[in-house]
Amino acid sequence: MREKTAFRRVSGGFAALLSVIFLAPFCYVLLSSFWSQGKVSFLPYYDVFWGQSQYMLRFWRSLGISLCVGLGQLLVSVLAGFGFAKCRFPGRNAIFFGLMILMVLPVQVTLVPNYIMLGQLGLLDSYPALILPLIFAPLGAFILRQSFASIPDSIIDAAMLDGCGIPRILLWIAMPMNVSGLVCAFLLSFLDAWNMVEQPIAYLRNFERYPLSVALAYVPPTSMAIHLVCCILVVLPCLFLFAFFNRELVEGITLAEVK
Amino acid sequence: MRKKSSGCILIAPLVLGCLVFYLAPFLLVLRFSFSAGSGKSIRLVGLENYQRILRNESFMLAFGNSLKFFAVGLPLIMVFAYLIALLMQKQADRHKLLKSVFLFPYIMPVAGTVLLVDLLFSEAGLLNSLLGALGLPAGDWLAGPSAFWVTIGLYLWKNAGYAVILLLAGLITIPTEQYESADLDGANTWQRFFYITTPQMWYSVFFALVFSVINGFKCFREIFLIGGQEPGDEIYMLQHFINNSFESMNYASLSVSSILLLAVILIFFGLFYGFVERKEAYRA
Repeated sequence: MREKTAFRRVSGGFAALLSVIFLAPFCYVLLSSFWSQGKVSFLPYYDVFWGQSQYMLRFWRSLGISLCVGLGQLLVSVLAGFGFAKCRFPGRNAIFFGLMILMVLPVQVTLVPNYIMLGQLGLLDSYPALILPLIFAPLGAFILRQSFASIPDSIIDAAMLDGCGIPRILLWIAMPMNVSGLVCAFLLSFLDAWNMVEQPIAYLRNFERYPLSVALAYVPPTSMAIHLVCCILVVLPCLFLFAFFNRELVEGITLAEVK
Repeated sequence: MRKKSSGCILIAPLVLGCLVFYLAPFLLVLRFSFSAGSGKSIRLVGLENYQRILRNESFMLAFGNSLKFFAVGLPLIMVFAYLIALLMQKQADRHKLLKSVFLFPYIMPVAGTVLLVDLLFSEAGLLNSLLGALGLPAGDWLAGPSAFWVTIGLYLWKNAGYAVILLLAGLITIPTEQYESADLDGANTWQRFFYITTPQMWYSVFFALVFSVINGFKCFREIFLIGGQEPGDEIYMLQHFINNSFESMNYASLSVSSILLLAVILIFFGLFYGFVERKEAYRA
């Protein structure tokens, strides 16, 4: 018994140490952002949020793009995820397997094909070029297929017997039972869009239209203080979403591992 | 019962989207990779493009570096994540908070992490001032061989949490009774690990590996931004090569590098998946 408490102490200390390693860098950036020219200062914050409009403009644009991607992906993935998990049709497994292969392909592989296709569709140098391919990324469908699969068939069959159609089953039964899957799919695609770097550089000609993520890293603000505050600005939406949804995110990632 | 037609309608948007934005363009790229010229003068040249790119030094450097990144990073992240997951296995009461903490670096945006690396490792960074305070020589950590290890560290810090969560999900499905009866039979820690934990974890390990590879490729964008367009030879990755080819609009070499990368990824996952399937077959 004593051995066990000792183990708990040691591993508790280890967990605390790990937490520090995982959290400290962010705290360092946060603290640094209030520190400019040797004293605590809020001037850079004022500059970024009110003084110069360029950062906030990019911020809202990025947010718009990422929300379009997240919501679009959610809509497409909910339908497909439910279809793969709960409907039987010929070729289901083969199609799903194909999508899983697509899922593991990195941007570096799909960038060029996408570029060529967007050129053919005449979408290059526009925001839809950034949004559309990401909406149809298969990761969300994969996560939702796995999490919808954990809903018992009997519940859905019972609803069908009572005369519920697929739309109503989705809206009133499957989706409310699978909130963490939905949140997880939305968050992961939102983050992916929020962080996009390759696509704007490849698809957009005009630097003025680059989203915040690329603009900051590609041509950093000359003043370190402004740069730090911008960095906080980029983190804010992620932090906000994470604060509200971290449990659903963790649960959704876990659920995706169902066989 | 659940009709075929409704299933097809449900998956139709995703499948159509993937056809338009991924599958069809891949066929185009495949054709580009075998042809030269553009527009109306386009003609098939067979494997010429492939031969040329395999002789291209910057491609081979990028490819080699990317392979090296995964050869070093993947084993490290798996061992690291597995150790953390094993430590957390018996402390269910601490799971909730810790999992969120571990996932926190994963949600940090690229621009933030790039700035962070700069703050810590640049010539005027925190690490150098610490070394200076201790009277040790400072170095430029983002140039030369150390840059590679900085990127590996960044990869581990950012993505280990994701793998921990996936591995932990597998670990907690192993019934505790199995460990208890092994204890009664006098099994030691190593035996429990090798004969109880490991055989039941192959699927989770595969899963964590797949997502670590996906996240590894995402890490290339950070490396790209850290290194700029002309980074040192140590961290010249595929991302840099593709971007530079984009600037010169070299369709043939872009297409060939996409196809080659695709082939390598498919072979790697195919082999590992086959291995896991064989291991899993014993369980059933």
